[in-house]
Amino acid sequence: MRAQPKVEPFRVGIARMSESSAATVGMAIERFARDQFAIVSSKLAQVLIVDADRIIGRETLQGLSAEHPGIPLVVLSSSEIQTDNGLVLKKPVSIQGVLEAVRNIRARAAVAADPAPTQPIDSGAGKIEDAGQPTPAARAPEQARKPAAVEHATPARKPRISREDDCCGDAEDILVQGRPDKFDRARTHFDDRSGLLGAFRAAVDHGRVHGKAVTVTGLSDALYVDAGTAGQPARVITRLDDGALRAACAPDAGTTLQFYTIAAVPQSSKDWRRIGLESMLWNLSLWSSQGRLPNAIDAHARVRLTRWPNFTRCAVTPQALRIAALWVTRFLTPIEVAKVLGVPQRYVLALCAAADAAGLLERQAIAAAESADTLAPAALPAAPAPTRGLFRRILGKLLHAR
Amino acid sequence: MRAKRNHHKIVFTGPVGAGKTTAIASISDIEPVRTDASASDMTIKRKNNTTVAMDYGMLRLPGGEKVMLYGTPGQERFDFMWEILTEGGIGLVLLLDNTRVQPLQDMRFFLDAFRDFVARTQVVIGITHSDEKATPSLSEYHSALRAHGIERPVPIFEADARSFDDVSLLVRSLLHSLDPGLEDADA
Repeated sequence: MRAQPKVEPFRVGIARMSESSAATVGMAIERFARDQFAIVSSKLAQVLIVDADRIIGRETLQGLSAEHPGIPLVVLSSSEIQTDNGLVLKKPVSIQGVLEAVRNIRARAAVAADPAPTQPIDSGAGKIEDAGQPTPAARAPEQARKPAAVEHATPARKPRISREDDCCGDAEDILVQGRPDKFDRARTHFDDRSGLLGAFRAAVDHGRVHGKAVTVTGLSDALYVDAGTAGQPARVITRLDDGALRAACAPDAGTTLQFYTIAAVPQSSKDWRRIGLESMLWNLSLWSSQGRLPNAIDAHARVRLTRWPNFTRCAVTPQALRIAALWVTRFLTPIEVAKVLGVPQRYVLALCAAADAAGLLERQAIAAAESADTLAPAALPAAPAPTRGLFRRILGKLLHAR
Repeated sequence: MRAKRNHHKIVFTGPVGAGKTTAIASISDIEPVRTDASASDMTIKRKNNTTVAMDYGMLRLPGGEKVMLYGTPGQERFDFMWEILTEGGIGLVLLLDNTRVQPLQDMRFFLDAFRDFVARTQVVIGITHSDEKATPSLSEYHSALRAHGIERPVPIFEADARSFDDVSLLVRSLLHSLDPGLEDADA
C-alpha cells in the first residue's frame, strides 16, 4: 500500500454564529471530518462559516468579506441572499450540507492554488460512516471547552429533610425458606381486608363494578375515588395529607369507615391533592403492613413485580430500588429476595405488600414453582460489576446532596 | 467527547420541551452550561428557547471524579450528535412530555434512535407534565414498550424535571437497573 502524503487540515473559521450553533458545527467537524478540517480563529481561517441571520443585511456580509479579504464564505441564511464570495446554504441546514460546502470551497481553493494538484481532492463520500472517535476539545470551539470556566459554587439546595422512619416495622428476620413457619402468623402477616386499606379497596372495587365515583367517609376529611371513567386513569382526590392517612392505617386507629357511590367527585381546588390510585393503594398498604405480608401471600412462594412501581409518587422504603431492580427480573420468594440482597426481611415484606395492593405482583405458575422449588436462585452475578464502585459513589452523592 | 479518565457521563434525551435542561439543572453541582438558542421552525410552538447543541451539568464525586450530565439536542436534525454524546455513557434518561400529541410515538422514536446505546447500557423513562395530562398512563407506556419488543424491565416514573428528588430517583433507578446487586450508599 502506498503511503499517502500528509495533508494539512483545511482551516475553518466560524463567524457571527451563536455559541450553540458554533459548538454544533465544531463538534460535527470533530466527529466527521477532523482529518480534513480544523477549527481556527477567523483571522487564520481559509474559509469562514457565517450565520447571516445574526448580521444585519448584506452590507454587513460584504463588510465581513472586506474584513477578511480573499477568504471565501459559507453563508447560512433563512432568506434568499447571494454572495460573490462563497456559497449560500438556505436554512434549515444539515450538518452534512455544511461539511459538503466547506469541502467544495476547499476544492476550489486547491484548484486556484495549484491548477494541477498533486493531492487528491477528498470528495468526503463515506467519511461520515468512517469517522473515528473524537478527541478532546483540542480543536473544538470555545464553547465546547467551557465547563471549567463556568464552574462555580454549588447552587443552594433545599435543606435535607430528616428521613422519615421506614414504615417497615421492627420485626426481626424469622422466616426461613423451605421450613414451615412455627411462630405466630401475626408476626409476618396482616389482614389487608380490614382497616382503612380494606375499606378503601372495597370502595374502589365497588366503584369499578358500578362505574361510579365513590367516597370514603369516617376520617377527618373525605377521600374521593374517581375509578377512571372516560379513559382517564383512576385518581384519588382528598385534602388529607400523608400523615393523616398513615395514622388512619394504624391498627388502633379506631375509625369507622363507610363508602358511598356519588355522582361525581367534587371539583378540586388548590388545597385538594390528586393522587394516582396505584400510588394511594401502595402507600396505604405500606403503612398498614408494618413490614408484614398480606394474609394471601405465602412467603415461601415465588412472585415477581410486573413492572417498576412509580417510585416518584409512592413511598420509597429502604432498599426499595434494589429490591425492585431484582424482583422485576425474576420470580423469587420474599425470603429469597432478602437473602440474595442481604437486606432485612421486613423491607421485602413491606414492599411485597404494597406491590400486591397496587396490582404489581404476579404469582409464579404452580408447575413452574414446583419445578424450580429446589433450585437456588441465580439471582445475581457471582462477582460484582466493575462499575459498582463508581455507581456507589454516584448514589452516595445523590442521596446526600440534598 | 469520549469519557475521559475519571470523567463519566449520563445522557438525558427526549423531545423538545420534555425537561432535559431543567432535569440536568436539578441535580447538577454546577450551573449547567446551556447552549440554548432561539428556537426555529416547528419547535418554537412548544418552547421559546430550545437546545440546538447540547447542555451539560456535572456531579462532582469524592476524589475528583466527575459525572457529566449531557442533554441531547431536542431537534431531530441534530441527531448526529446523539451518537457522539453516548460514547462511553453510563446510561440513558429519557424524558417524555405527556402533553405532546403522541408521547408513545416519541418514546419509540427515541428508543430506536438510541437502540445500540440502550442495548449495551440501560434506559429509565421519566414522564413529565403528567399532572397536566394524565394519559397515556404508566401502564400504557409499559405495554407500548413490550409491544415495541423491549422485554427487559424499564423503570418508568412520573417526574417533575424541576424536582431534585424525582430526577435523582431516575438516576438512582438507572444505576440499580444496571447492577441490582448495588448496595444503597446509606444502607
